[in-house]
Order: sequence, then structure tokens, then C-alpha cells
Amino acid sequence: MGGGKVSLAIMAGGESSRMGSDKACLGFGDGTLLEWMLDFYAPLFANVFVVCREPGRLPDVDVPIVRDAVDLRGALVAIYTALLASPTDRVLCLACDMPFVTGALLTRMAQLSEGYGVCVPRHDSLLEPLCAVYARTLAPAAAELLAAGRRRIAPLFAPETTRFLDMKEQGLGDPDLLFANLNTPEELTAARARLAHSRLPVRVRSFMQRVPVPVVSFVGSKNSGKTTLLEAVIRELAARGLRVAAIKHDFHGFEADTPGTDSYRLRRAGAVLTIVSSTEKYATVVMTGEERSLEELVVRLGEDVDIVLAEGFKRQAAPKIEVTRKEDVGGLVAPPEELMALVSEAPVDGIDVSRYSPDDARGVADLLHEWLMGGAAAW
Amino acid sequence: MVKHEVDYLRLAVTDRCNLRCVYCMPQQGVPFKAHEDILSYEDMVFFVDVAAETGISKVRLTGGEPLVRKGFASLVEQLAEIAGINDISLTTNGILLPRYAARLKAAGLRRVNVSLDTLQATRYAELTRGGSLAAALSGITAAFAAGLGPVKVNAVLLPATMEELDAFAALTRERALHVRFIELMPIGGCGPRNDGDSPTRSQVLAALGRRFELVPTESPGGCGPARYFRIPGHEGTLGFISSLSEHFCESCNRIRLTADGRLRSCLFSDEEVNAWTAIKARDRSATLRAIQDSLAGKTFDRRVFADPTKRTMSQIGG
Repeated sequence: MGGGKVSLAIMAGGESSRMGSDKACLGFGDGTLLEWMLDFYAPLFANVFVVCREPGRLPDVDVPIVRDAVDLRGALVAIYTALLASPTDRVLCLACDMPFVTGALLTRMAQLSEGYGVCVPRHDSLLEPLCAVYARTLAPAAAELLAAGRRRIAPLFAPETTRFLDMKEQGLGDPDLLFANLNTPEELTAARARLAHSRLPVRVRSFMQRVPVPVVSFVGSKNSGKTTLLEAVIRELAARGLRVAAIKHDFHGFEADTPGTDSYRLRRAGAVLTIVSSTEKYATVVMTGEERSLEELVVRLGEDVDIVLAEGFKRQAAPKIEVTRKEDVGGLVAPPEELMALVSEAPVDGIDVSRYSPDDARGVADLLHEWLMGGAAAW
Repeated sequence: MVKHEVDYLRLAVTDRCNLRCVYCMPQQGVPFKAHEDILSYEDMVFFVDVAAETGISKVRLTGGEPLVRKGFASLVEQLAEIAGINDISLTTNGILLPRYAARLKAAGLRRVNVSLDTLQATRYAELTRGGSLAAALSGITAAFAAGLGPVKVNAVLLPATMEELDAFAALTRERALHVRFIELMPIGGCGPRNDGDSPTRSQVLAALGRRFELVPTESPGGCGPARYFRIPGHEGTLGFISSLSEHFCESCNRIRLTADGRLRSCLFSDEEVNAWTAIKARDRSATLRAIQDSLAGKTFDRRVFADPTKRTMSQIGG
């Protein structure tokens, strides 16, 4: 996660000449665009603040708002201001009108920026300086540029101190969707339309923003065919080159290592964490005393994966795919509004999400793949 | 990890104080060191002379309350004469500044930081267990009159701070006075640790931002980890020093010598190097070695400050 070492600065001072009004105050989701940005991205960072030219015009929010450090125009001013105001050595500067970047992308940038002056996404030789991490050490350089009447941010990107984040890296999503920003009323209309497609409730969307990698939970009653479907979906996604993590919920308690093995003996002797390692894999058994939430498990994965598919965890806030059979008379186990798809032979009354047949693993994989590439826009 | 130059010494000249702030000392006080267990001014001058050789150029005099130690101005005078030492500053509660400010300026003191956690007289008396706010404020005035500016006010963030933001902001209006809000640190067991009751930097900054425009600004002199904001039209600034939510080891530039001759490389660690014997023996190479040992133990990379240190802030010198 962004953690305590990188702060988040939302840059809300954009010159909204083509929009005709202050972007931060535009209606978006359930409130203003600024509130949308803070709802989704603030939980990822320990320190969050807003930078703008006229603080008085912004909606009242519960994070600090600071005014531009110099009386000039342009994004470089906002970045310079963020560098001065940031309590941490690095600050992620994010334009207020980029409502579709993902928490996973921001988290990745925060991690990769360590030791660099800048960490900036790049796609097709295009850079995204308004969604980039800057180090405080650049403040004097930014001040000099401003003093010399320069407006461009690019001179800060010295090749030896800049980490270019190549968007072709898998799982980061489609840059055109991720970095879509709102400069015109037409773009705003399109963005709002995209939002309307997202039926998932705030509980689920904010879970998605908090975890460092996309998670989908496959739920259903016992013997509904969850594992069989998951198996086929994982096979599909793996064949497309995606790195899939699987997390299985077990009600009954389990033994990951059988009695008699050495690791079993070490664990029984009181080791809180046991790792068995060999040339092609390793297994970790951690004695937690109580069950970890899905979110905690995902945060602790520690491996570079593109998507996490979980089995079970129906009460947790991950988006869900429910697998159900005709015989399941008790209705669905997941809250209907948290479903992104239904896997069932027949429609279920009152559920209008996309439905897939139980043997259509490819269709479910297509959905997940598309979802992965579309980032927040698809949620 | 960037290697930082250590050029800043915090020298605790006494462990005694004329106040008993609730977060600094337990109510019953702490047993003060006997006179013979405290470095003499001559000892301190010797030590700083050696430290200057290693690149120390700035000395901040702390305590306890430095001004309660007899003949304090003479220490300043002697330190100011050491080659390589070009910035001598003082951290004080301000109570005795009206008496000493002019003398200290003449002795070579550059600037002062005044510890002042509240601007309400009754609250001040409670927090300091009997101190007078009026006396502390006249200390600030005396510092300006003597030319010991810019004056910085250090205010620990307390639950009540939120009610006093206007008053703190008003302090910065007419004079080049810099208020720095400090998050409580997990030092030395006693007193209220920040257990969630005290506001965070972010909450204070947000609340201030609702009343005033806040413009981030470069640090007004000094070299600490604080971040500063200016209210347009005000002479001074409001700053924040955050210790828990944002660790600032990476830019740490300081070492500390306690009044009983122990070197501490990190405020959050109980690791000490004993320089007492070397200093008392006027052994330059052994003193130098003690400084180097202490620096070698400086990690610049502490992550967790979970355990309270054993000594109180009044014994370490902040």
C-alpha cells in the first residue's frame, strides 16, 4: 500500500476553461468530483491533502486544503506546492479530474518510486505527469523552473532519477480508460455514463480501492460447483499469461502439512510461522489464532500477481460471482447488489447481472479479463 | 539509503526545570542528578570543541530548562568562540527570558525556540503544573526585543489544541514568529502518550484550512523536519513536526549529549555511548571515538517506535 512513506496530493486547481466551471465542484457519483477522488484514493494513504489556487471555492472536505505556493498558473505550480506541503519525502500528485485510476496502480507507483525523483506512468511514449510520484528533493528544481517562467513539468524527469512505469506491464489496465480525464462537458457526460454502469455498492468499490490487486470472490452454497468452475477459469486466465492467486476459505480448519513431516513437528513445537521451501515452490503456514479477513490476506500476499480469485468469503466486501444450481432453494448466499455475475443454468428472479452457464469458464474468464483491463471504470 | 551529514548537536545542559509539564516529567518529579554527576560548562566546551572537528557546526542548548543553570550565558559565550560553531540556539520555556535575553544575545546566541503548548492561562498552569502563561509570553517579547528572532514556538498537539487554533494563528500575524505543532512522542513512560485523543497533523491542518488560506512555504531558517505554511498577510508561519505518523529518520542530521555525558544518536532509542570518562579526562581521541561510535549506531532507518524509552524527555533534552 502507499503506506506512510508516500503522501497523496489531489490537485484541484486545474484551469477549467473548457469546462466552464470549477472541476472539483462538478457533480460526480454521489457528491462532487473532489469528494469522489477522496472517497476512493484517500484510504490508500496515511497523509492526504488537496492543493488548489482558490481554497475558498472547494467543497468542505475533511482533509487539509492548501493554496498554491506561488501566484502562477499551471500544473507545475500544484506539484511544487505539493512538494512543499508534503510531510513525507515523496508525494503522489494526482489530478482531480482523473476519477478512473485504480488503487492498484497508485499503490504500485508508490512502491516503485522509492529511491527515485519521479515515478511516472508511460504508454506509447506518452507520460502521465498528473498521476505521478515526486520526491521532495525536486522542490528546488521546480522552484527554479517557475522562477524562470517555465511551465512544463518534463524538465523534472531526468532519465537517471526517473522511474518510468510501463503501462504494458500486465494487470495495470488500459491507459486510455485509467487516465481518462475530464476537460470538456462531453468527456464529463461520458464519464458519468461509465459510472452509471457500475452497480457495485460503495462498500465493494472502496474494498477494491484498498487492496493492492483486484480480487473477486466466487461464492455459492455447498456443492454448487464453485471449485470446478474456479479450476476452469484459472486455467483459462493462466493460458492468457495472467498470474492468478487463489485463496480458499475453509470452515473446518485444515492441516497444510501432515502429521509426521518435519515442518509439522516444527510447527507443533511452537513456531508461529513455518515455511517449507523446495526448488519449485514453497508453502507457508502461519498460526494466526483467529481468521484473517480476505483483505488482510490479500494485503499480505507478497507476490506479484494480476488477480486474486477467492473461494468463499461471502460476507466480505470483495465483488462476487455466485455459482448456483436449480436445487439451491434457499436463494443466493451473496447480497445481490455485490454480484458482478451469476453462474447458473437458469435466470434467478430479481437478479439482472450478466449470467453465464456453469460450463462457460471461457465467458467468465473473458469477463474477468476485461474487468482487469478496464480498471475502476468497469467496477 | 542516502548518507546524511550530521552537523547538529543537541546539548542538554541540565536535567532540572522550573516547570513540571505533565507529558515531560512525572508529578513527583524525577530524581535530579547530583551536581557532580553533571558535566561542567568546561566539560561541555571541551566536548563541543571536539565535536566541531567531526563537522558539527550547529549547537542547540536544551534541558531540562537551560536558563535555570547558573551562569548559562557564560556557556553560550564560550561555545560561540569555538572555531566551526556558527549557530547556537536555545530551547526554553521562556519564563526566564525577560531576565536573560539581552545577555544571551550579547554572548552569541542566535535564536530561541519557546515551548508553549497552550495560550490559555489556566490550561497552561495545569499543563506545566503551576507555570505562568504571562511570563512565558513576555519571554517571547523579550526574545524579539533582544534580536533573537526568528522566534519559534513549539506546541505539542493536545486535544485542547483544536480549540486554540485561532489564537496560535494570531501569534503569527504581527511578528516573524513561527509556531510549530508537534505530535506527542512515545518517550519515557510518563505523561499522556498520544493514544488517539490528540489531534493529528492532518486534522489540525484541515481545521486551520477552514479558517485561513494556508500557503506552503520554504522553511524559515533552521534545518529540521518541519513543514511550514503561511497565512497570507501574516509575518510568521505555522509548521508541523510529525513524529509518529511520518518518520523522518531519513533526513536526521543530529546527535545528542545528555547532561551526564551520554551520547544518544536517536531520540527513540535507549542506545547510549558513555562519553563521561573521556570528557572528564580531556581525552580528545577517546571523545572523538565516542562520537564516532555513537554515529555508527545511527541507523537512519528506524521503522517502529513501539516501545517507550526509559529516560524522560527532560533527561534527554528533546
